[in-house]
Amino acid sequence: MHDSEDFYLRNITKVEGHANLSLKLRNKKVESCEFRITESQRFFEEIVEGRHFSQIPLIVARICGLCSSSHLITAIEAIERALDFSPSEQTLLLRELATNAEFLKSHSLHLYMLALPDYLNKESVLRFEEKEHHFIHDGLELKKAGTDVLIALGGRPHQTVNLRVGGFTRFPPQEKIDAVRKTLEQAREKAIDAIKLFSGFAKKNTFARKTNYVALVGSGYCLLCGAIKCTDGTIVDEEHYLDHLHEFLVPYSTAKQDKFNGEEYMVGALARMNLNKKEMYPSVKKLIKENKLKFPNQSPFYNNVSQALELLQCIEHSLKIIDELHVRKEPIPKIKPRESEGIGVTEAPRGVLYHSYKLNSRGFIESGNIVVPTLQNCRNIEGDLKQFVPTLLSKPREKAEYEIEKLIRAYDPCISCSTHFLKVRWT
Amino acid sequence: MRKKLRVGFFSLSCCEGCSLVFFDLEENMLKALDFIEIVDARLFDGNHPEERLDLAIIEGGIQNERDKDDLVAVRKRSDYLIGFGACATVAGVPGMRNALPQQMQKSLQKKAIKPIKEKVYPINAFVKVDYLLQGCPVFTHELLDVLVKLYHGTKPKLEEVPVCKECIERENPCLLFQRIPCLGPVSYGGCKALCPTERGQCIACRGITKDGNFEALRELFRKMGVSEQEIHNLFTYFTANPFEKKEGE
Repeated sequence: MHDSEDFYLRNITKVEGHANLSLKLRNKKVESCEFRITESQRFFEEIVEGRHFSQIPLIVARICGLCSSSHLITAIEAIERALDFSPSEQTLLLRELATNAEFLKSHSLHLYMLALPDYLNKESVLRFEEKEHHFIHDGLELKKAGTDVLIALGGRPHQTVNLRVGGFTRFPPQEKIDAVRKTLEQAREKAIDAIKLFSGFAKKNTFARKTNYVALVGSGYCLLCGAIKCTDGTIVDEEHYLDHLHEFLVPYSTAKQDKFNGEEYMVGALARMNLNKKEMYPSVKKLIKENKLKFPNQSPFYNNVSQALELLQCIEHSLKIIDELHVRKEPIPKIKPRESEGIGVTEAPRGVLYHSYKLNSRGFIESGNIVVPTLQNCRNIEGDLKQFVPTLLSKPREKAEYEIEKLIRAYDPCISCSTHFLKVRWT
Repeated sequence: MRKKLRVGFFSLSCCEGCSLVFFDLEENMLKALDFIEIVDARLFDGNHPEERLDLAIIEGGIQNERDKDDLVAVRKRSDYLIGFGACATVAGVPGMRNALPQQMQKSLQKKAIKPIKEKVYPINAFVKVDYLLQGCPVFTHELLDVLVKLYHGTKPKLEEVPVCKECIERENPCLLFQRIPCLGPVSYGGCKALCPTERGQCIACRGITKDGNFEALRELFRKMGVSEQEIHNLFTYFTANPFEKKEGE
């Protein structure tokens, strides 16, 4: 391609939601880069106003088709905190299991169905040749391990029914739990294959750029609790996230963008690996070593192999939880509403997810604030592209476009998630 | 052998969870690809707006002009078109915006970053829709059923069964008897009463039956001690827009 080029990628494919990219290259330098999210806002923060707290999780779960359980559980956590309610140990374990299953489902879908074609030079998974079909089977088997757990716990793989504020409407019988243990054990081998496969791809991409990473840290590989840690050294309590997150509008996108302590940053699998690798299961660490993967790592393409490593992490952890479980029935206790506010912060498959709600004395929502992972990553995607595109000068234009899309997809962006809101936070 | 069914998947304003259900077909997905060819799908493959379609599968509701234009353009190039999931068929959760107080709706319209329509519409407000696949999200077996039928040249037929009928068939304890406000009596089934089976109330994600007696149910909820605000909220869950007609009609 030439030293000066205009790129306009419309309706970027194989990402969830509608986004365009406009990038101007002038004399080998990126003059402007706009990652334009074009979906209309769906106003979830307004929709929840005036509704009873018990309804909220099921509504906000509809923000996302890929990580509905993450939104569901984060909203439940926020509301329970507001009402000063501590769920039972069993409920917490089952929620953790659901979250791990959600990661399995979401990561395997992204890796095999959306990202893999990039690395095999195929337009999509639908155009794989017969000899590549085994990848599809592997991806589907990993996904099935996740969806089977979610079906057992929540009635169906997406938009689960049973998880509520206070506990579960219905508990899975022990034999269902035992059945999913088997599927998980079978998927373990496939996860190891995934790590090998995506390690190879990761090492082929040499592009790296210094940026900040943000993830939850605490004891273990935290997904549902912990403090918010940034690689700039800051550690923040969940309650004080608004002191560090700065949301702002950009004129070209329907989604806001975010900075952490005034800097762009990345959330998601790579951020978690960079901050939490030491907390992973020994079997995962062994594979990091065997495949000669280096963390912390500053290549955005490493996000995919990080997701693959998390597949195994989530399988191991799910099996551990299942070993501890002896499911017994626990009715959902009556929770007394009061004027209050609460914050829930978790790791969704794509990164740190924040939900906070203000309740009135009768338990109806006064206001809500939701910060999703993808909009936190938008700024960083642009930052990467500014440095990445000038490295592609020797390539033909078509190939350069391909590489640009590949980088965007490596982030696993979930665009419809990021356009649900309008309001700048409450004060 | 018959010619493969040429299929396109399209998303308007939604979460794209229904399209992803295609991957939930799992091994059946590969079998389906033996008799369907996906010729235009941004999410799974690529944008191919020049392709003619035997079947267009549309998820998402209409929030803005572009949604509407995209929908109309797809209708023109496809023989058969189905609404896929609650957002497309009943305006879904985004349609809850339609139930907000008038003033708030107006202010949202003003504040929206990109111009939005006054209401959120299901797709049949703007084009002829041949079939509705209901649910939030849709079920894999229903998707497969439609694909197989259309491939063989038969037309799928919408079965209008209320949730209560399927709930009774599954021998579930009635949630209304336990004083849990459930929309089962006025909602379309086909879901095999999934939510009540899991002991969660029906939230009418598959739409409201034509002869659903709202008033009787409202009265029952009142007797159960459900507050007016909560009754309003329940009736505007997925059902904020059940009878919405074309703009300006």
